[in-house]
Amino acid sequence: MAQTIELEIFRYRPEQESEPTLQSYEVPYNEEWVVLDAINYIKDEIDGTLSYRWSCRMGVCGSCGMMVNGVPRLTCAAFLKEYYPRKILVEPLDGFPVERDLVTDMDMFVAKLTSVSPWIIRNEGEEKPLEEGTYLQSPGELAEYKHYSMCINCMLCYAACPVFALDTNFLGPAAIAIGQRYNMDSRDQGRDQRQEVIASHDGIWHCTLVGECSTVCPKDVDPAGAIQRAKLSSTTDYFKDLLMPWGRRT
Amino acid sequence: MAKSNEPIFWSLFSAGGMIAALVLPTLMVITGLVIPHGFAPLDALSYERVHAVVSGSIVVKLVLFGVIALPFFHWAHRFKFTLVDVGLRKISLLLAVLCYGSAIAGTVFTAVVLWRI
Repeated sequence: MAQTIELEIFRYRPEQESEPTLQSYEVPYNEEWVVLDAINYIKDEIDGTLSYRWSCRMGVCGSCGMMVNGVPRLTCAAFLKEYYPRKILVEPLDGFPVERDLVTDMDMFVAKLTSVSPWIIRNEGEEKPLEEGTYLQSPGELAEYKHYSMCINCMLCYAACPVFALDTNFLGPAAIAIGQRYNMDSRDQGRDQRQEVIASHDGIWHCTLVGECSTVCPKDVDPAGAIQRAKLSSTTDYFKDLLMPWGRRT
Repeated sequence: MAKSNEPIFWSLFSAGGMIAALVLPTLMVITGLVIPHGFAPLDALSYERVHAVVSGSIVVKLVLFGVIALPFFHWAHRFKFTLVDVGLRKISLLLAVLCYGSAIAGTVFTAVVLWRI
């Protein structure tokens, strides 16, 4: 008989049950399969009622983040052979409300992300006319922010962050890293605007540098490092404003 | 959004951590290895000698003040956040007053002691 592996999956269908349950499925074991392949197999062959998000299957879209044996993982990058022959427990990402089965409500994250204005901001009247071409940037200027720009908004860092688990008001790792991505961009002039959110009490200051966000990040964005840099620059701003209030940055 | 005063405490915390990281290993080597193993004269850290160095120089007093006071704030900040993280979030203001208050008290005490030497 072909080898199989057991997946225990978090189920929650609000129209038929008030409490979530766990449901076990036996799927064929294939060395090349990732957890997402096994879940797709369940959906296609065993139980079409299972709900979950996925899209690209290759670590780019950031949709298939789930808790795999308690650890936030992209299920498209978590191979069955890492767990075989033990069973695999799949749950929705920690820290977010569950809509149905493995699908979480992302509104909270999207609101946090939007609050840091994640786009290039130019001062009033300083936008270059189109005919003058693009804003040029040196390789050094690009290197300042490039690794932060690799974020795929998969929210694994939020699911891993113990501070976010205790207080969802915390702006959180990805939003701060993405804010830094634009702050460090030589074409951007929006840092002061973002500081209103990033340097606020619910911004960087909840972080206690546990570092789990950087550990679980599938794209090596290092949100913890971004937060530390933001703490340092915000502290410098604070003392500059305190000592030289007339030198207020515009 | 409300401007945070956290930079004051965070910068003291950071400075204290830096001091502790630099000074503690040095002190361990001096007091734990160099002197007990006879790499330096046994009386190198004698009371009279240290007292003379500290009492004779305002610079030494200032350095000692920083080395002693800043780690108090490092402790206060870390301890407060640890207590908040283990579930005392509701009384975080009280914890802040107690922790930073202790650090301030320790700082004042340090200043008084150094002043009198």
